[in-house]
Amino acid sequence: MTVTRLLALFIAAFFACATPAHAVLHIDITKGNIEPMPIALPDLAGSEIGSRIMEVVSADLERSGLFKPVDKQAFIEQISAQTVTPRFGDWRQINAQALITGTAIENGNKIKIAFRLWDVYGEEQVAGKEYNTFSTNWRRIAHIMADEIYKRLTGEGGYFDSRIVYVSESGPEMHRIKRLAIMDQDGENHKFLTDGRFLVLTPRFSPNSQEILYLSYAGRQPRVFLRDLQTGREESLGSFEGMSFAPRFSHDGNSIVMSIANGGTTQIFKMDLHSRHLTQITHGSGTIDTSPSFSPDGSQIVFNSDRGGSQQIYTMNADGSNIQRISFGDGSYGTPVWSPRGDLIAFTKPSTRGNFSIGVMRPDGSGERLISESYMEEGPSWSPNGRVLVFHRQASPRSPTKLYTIDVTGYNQRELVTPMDASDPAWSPLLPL
Amino acid sequence: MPGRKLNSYYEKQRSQGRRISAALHIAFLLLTLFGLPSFLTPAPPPEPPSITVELLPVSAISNIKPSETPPVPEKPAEKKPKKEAPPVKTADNTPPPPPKPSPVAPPKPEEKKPEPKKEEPKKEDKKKADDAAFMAALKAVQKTAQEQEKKDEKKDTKEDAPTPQAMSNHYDPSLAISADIKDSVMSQLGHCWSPPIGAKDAQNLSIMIVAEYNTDGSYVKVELAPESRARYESDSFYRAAADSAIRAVKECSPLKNMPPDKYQGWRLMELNFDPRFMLH
Repeated sequence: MTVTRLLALFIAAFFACATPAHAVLHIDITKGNIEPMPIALPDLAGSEIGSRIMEVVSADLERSGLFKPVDKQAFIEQISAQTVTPRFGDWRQINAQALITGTAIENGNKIKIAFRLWDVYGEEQVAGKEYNTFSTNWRRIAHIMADEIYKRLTGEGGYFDSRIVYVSESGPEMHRIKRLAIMDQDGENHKFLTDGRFLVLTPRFSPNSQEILYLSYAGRQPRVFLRDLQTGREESLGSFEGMSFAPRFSHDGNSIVMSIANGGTTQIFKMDLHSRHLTQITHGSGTIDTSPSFSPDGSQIVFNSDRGGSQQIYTMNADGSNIQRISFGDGSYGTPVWSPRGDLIAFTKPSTRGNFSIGVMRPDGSGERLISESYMEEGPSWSPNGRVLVFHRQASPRSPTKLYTIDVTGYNQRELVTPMDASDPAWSPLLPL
Repeated sequence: MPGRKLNSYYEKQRSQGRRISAALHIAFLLLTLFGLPSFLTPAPPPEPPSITVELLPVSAISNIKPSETPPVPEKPAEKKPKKEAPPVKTADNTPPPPPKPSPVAPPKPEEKKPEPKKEEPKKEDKKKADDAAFMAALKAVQKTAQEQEKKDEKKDTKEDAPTPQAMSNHYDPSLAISADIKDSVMSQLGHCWSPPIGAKDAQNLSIMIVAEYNTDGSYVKVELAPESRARYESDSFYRAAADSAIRAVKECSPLKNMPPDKYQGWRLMELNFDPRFMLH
């Protein structure tokens, strides 16, 4: 009987094993479609200000190159204040992958904005926020909304609630008038910060406050100035023996790095903004070390130097030790600037054809890519999220100098329209709430 | 009495033996009826080496010849406005060309024509003709691919995702079935997938999706593979990338031209969305 039972078990086990297995088909999807995500942005229900807000949101998202607002004429469902859950089928039919619904309510001089972000294919809400503010802040609310939507759908922080400071240029070539100017990242709310009496160059934003550094020839000697944009207060950071230029804030905004030229050499110095104590960082003999830029964690500095015989990009520890060359391509490199994400360094590169390019590389020098080229372009500056670069370009010898933005992938290059010629842009951090 | 005891012992042994024999016979019979057929099923043919032929499948000559392949001229035109001109509104013309099964139809009449004329001895000739056509097709594809590479810049190549038109979904039973299904699914899903190529550390944003499909190619269930779920909750970049992959599967449902007779082979899919090869 024991043998019989064993045989019965064997037969039963055999049948269990003999059942054909359901194989899982493994497929690697390694190619995709680099197209912006279609997103439906109906007007916020309620006050008329809702439609103005959504116009700005739509423009921000479309300008990023990652989103494509669906034409409102194609909408099947009309969103109203009573809409609780959208009819997702209607939005899928017009190929929307994401949808915004919301309300805008005005109450005197204040507004209350509420919105929900929907995943159309997932048929679920993925984000939602409510804002209460003065009506005059409606444009900022729109940028903040756009940042929220951008962040949820791309995974990284937005950059729409930010500003760009730059040098506005006008007048004939021999008598150029240069003024500091500032505007929202979409070109709105433009205003001048200086009157043009003195030459100004290389404005740079603090990473965590509304202060800027810039070089001014007031007093006939170029000096570094610090200006608080909210109070308008301005101060010189002192007279240095020699010429100081290329100032840039440290990662925490508590100090600055800049180059000082003296005695035939140009070295990098660091100044504590509280104590005003100056520390020399590089000590090359007869070299030109300039354009320093801190890494976002403050541990390293990338800079430009000719210590190797040609203008190349180097990194070093924040104390000046461990200097490493990271650029090895043909030709020279300049104006390196570290991304706020920490993963890339942007630079200017003159080409052998006589043109200039904007490029990016990883901090170890690998992955070098040129993402733009023209007759003359330089001075890249990163958006707060490290995804977009702004730079100035002169398309031909006689053409005006304009500002352009470009995605770090090299796509979506756009002109940033300014009232006059423009150069030396610097992107602010996100505005404080 | 010893004799009777002995007979009883032998009787027991014989009885046990009969039971064992019966059980073995039954087992053998069942094995023969249910097990052997599965043993006799030929093993699936080994997968052919993967040849990256992006434009067209290898199955039909006339499908390759049309270098009038519409996607080829369209894509360079789409890219140029993005780089040079502010009106990036050219992104409006984004939808991929709709699948056109019509190119598949014409070759069939050509193939059918010789058949009624020469049926008996033409198996060898047909095989030779097929081989010759195959080699000619490969050469044509290679030439076209080389020309394509010369024209396009490096970063343009990542937009050359094979379209449903370029990678025909024509199903040829004489080819390795698994390779056809994979290419077809890869092509279809690739068209619906917008990978996060500009994200930080995009090379580490490989997403594994598990999907179950109906016989008509529509999805029953789409979800992240278990090993991906923890990171989905903690990593915003990963979450966005995973959402885009899941969206691609849902948007591209139902899958087209999936062979119903091979349904069990593609009902369950493990889809690895990997943007690495699209990065610079």
